[in-house]
Amino acid sequence: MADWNYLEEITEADIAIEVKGRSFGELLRNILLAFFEISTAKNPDEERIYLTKEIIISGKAERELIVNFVEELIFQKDVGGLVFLKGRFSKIKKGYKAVLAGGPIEKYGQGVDIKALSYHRLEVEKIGLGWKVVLVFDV
Amino acid sequence: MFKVKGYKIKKLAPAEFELVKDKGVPVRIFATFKLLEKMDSAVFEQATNVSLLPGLVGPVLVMPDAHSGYGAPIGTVFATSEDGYVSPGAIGFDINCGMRLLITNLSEEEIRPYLEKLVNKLFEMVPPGVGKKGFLRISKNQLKELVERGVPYLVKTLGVGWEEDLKAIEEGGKIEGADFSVVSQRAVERGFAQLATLGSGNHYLEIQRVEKIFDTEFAKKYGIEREGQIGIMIHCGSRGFGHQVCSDYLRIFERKIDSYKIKVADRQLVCLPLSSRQAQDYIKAMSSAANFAFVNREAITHQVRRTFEKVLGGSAKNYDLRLIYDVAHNIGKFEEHIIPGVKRKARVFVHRKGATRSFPGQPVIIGGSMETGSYFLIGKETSLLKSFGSTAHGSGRTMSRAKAKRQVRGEKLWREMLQRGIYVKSASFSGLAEEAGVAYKNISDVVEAVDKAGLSSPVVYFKPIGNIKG
Repeated sequence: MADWNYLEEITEADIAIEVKGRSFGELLRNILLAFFEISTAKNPDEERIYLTKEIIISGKAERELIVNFVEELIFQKDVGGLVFLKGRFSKIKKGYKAVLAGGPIEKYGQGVDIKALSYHRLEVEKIGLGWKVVLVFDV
Repeated sequence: MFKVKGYKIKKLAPAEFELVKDKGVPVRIFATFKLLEKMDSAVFEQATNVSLLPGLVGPVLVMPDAHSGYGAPIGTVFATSEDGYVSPGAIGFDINCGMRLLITNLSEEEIRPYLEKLVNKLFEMVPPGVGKKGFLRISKNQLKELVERGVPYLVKTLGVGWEEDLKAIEEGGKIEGADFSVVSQRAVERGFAQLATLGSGNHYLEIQRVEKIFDTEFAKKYGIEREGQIGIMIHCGSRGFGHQVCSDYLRIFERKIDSYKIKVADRQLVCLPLSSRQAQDYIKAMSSAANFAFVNREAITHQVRRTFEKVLGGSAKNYDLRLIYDVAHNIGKFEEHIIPGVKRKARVFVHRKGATRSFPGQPVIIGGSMETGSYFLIGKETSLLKSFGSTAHGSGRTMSRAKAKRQVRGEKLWREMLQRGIYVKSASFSGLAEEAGVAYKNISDVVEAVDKAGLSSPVVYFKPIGNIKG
């Protein structure tokens, strides 16, 4: 079960979520799952995998890594028509390498179309050994 | 003086209020008391953040349909001096998201027998939703020409759209200064994938009937003569192209802002001096995205006309289908204005986020929810004195998407709307539930407020009979 939830008090027109992870890799994985669930209105645990794709998430700080990762997910959806429901993340020198598994969005169905990540309340927090981030999507 | 959601407010005039605060430029709110009370507290907080931006001239203006967004509320207008600043986030991600209205010579009685077929065909010809491709197949060089030369290039060179449409589009469908070279490859790829598509969220294509005519003379000038006459309304923007432009420049601006020692209350409001290279590049890229949106709506109009030909037969011109007007919602422009409160004329950079230009005598379109209808209005002289020639853009949400989905079942709503004579074809029932009328303010309340405030006055009220949603 991915650790994320909606924050309804932040925006009426768009979507705000809070995502947590016990490690930064798990935070990225949970962002991926939230993105899938919002985009398809489907439970990622119950859906099939059609393909895998490797991407590099570059960035110096955690905030930049998250912005770049979400923007990559939006790009993959808009240009390739792809969404992902599983991810394996490994730390590399310039950021993270991610092996993403998913498929064409039409195989899963349409939920809410995430079009951009805003910087509004975009905060990455270290909590003990884990991480927390608030993301406000333009939809 | 009184309080709304903990914020001190004073009344200035009918449908005009001001936030009482001790920092920044004034924040003026155009609304009836009823709408003011319905605004979420984040609107006041975000408008206050905007009022602290550098280089502002005149007040920050909040429209009656305002609701919380990020950075600036959706429904905000403000201006910076000519040598001031530009904030991409305060213009918005969906650059030149806008409205377009066409009118036919057909009556509701004539169209009803074909309504379902028309809506289904429009759904096929103007793909809504995610991952759908449009009909326009163009080269990269043609995309460059389209975003730099706008609708005139689409019509005159590619033969898509009618030449007479050009005079009915804000700026003639071409914002000067667009430059493809400052647009990222990512924006280009997202643009290619989505050109001539409707998109999702609150974007729609609607078949509407004239419900009420308020200003017969002005309506007649645009071919609207009787109740029951059929119009077509299109609401969409610059798709992924514009979103990517805004995302790219937010990143660029954020990297540079500290070097200018500018402090903003919300990182979504990052801004840079208009004289900086980054700001000038953003304006060129933003203008490119604005042209992309005008082109997108013209291409969709072309498909609407083809759909009428396919379903009803003959030429689209037989059904009139003239373009009444096309207005932008999210845009930044250099304009000359009388600064409200100062009464001095100056060239300023106007930011309109979720707000419509409303110059005197100019057609204005304010789109409502798919259940309640929309208005065609005329800009008033006083808008130049009060609001940098601007007015509202829609009805504005009153509840979050998640809450709407909890309250409304999409399939049930679809059946209920059908019983009320509105045939909807949507990419998803969950998307339909999010856009239920109950999630929005009453459009007539918004129009009453802009009329009372002297920003624009109603000409025609349209009600939907067919709707396509992403």
